[in-house]
Amino acid sequence: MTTDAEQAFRAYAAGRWHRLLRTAFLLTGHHHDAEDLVQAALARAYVKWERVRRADDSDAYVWRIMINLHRDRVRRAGVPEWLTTRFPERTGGDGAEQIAVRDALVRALLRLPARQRAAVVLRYAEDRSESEVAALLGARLGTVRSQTARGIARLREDGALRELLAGVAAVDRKETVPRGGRARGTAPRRA
Amino acid sequence: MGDEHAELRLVGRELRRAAAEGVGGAGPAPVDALVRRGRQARARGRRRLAVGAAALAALVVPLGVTVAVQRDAPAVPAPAAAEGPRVVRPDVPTPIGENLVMALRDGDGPRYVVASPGTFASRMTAADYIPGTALAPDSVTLSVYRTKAGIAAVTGTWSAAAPPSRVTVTAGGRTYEADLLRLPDGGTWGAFYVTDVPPLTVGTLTATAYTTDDSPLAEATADAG
Repeated sequence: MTTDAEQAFRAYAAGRWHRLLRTAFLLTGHHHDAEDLVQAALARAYVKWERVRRADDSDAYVWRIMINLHRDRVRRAGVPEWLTTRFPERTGGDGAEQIAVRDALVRALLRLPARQRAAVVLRYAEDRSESEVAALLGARLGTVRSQTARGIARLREDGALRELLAGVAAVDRKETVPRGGRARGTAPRRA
Repeated sequence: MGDEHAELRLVGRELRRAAAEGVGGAGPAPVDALVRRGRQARARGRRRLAVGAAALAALVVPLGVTVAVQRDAPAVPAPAAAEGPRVVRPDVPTPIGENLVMALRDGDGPRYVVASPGTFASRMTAADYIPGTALAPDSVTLSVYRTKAGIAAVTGTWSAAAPPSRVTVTAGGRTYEADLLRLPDGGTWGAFYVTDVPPLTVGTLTATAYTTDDSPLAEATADAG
């Protein structure tokens, strides 16, 4: 790799690291696994860097590498590897209700098949269009629609959405500012 | 419809918050390590291409030479149940059951590959891009290797300062003694496997590692379905 190309890769990796991590966290459910996945994806992007640079959308190329790596990993494992310590980690910040609700949602997300999970994450967490999701997953538009619909339906069946809606309603009630008072029950969200 | 859109927006918002919290403590990108790893992966790809070309050339040599090569092949015979982990060489396929091999990878964290002999090479290539899971001390992981016929093997890794004396896998109400593998200088991790579990489709699988005084060291569970 030329010096220029390597510099470009370094800048890209530094600039996209946290964004990739957030997507990877929702795919894997654990920040260590997320870091592993992003590192593997970026190492692969390094190997294919000239293609990444030439791609119309470099981000889409790298995100696709990461999603495919994750899918392969899940497929190869048969079931995900379960560590005794492996649960979504929280370090505080929000109210207990919100944290519990979010944990429930992430756990429910992790119970979705890898493909459905990726579709839900890209479509709703990353707010991408159906066409973009289709391109990232290498799937047809109709497949993306059915995957996201099934994913959301399973989250509803799982009760995660009910918990989420009920939890948010409870927090909203707490957040209601009394006359002359200040909102309570939530802390500022961490960046 | 409006309610559904609001609900989906809410899901998106909460997922974004969960992700931000989940990786909130992450530091900057380890750019030097990424470049190093990318270079290693590129070099491995080149070496594998070279090996592939050599293997193709070997197809035209006389049968006797082929047999000799097979005798020299580093596959390790299937073991009897052993006390403590058996030492195997890195990246070398170890037969663990009918039409099934396992190899431990060195470097870059705990990694292993389970495959049929026919797909072993491609799995090893794919594994070049898969990092090892960061294992907590005194922990075990648990995976199921499936074929069309059902569960072919229950596999996993252990992480401990001293290797466990044994690992058991409980499935379908029965407990099986796992075979343990480790690398010559495998540090604090190794792998285990059981290949004679019943073809479960539901239920829970539990792996338990024990210390040398037979106290439980760590346990992991997974759904069989």
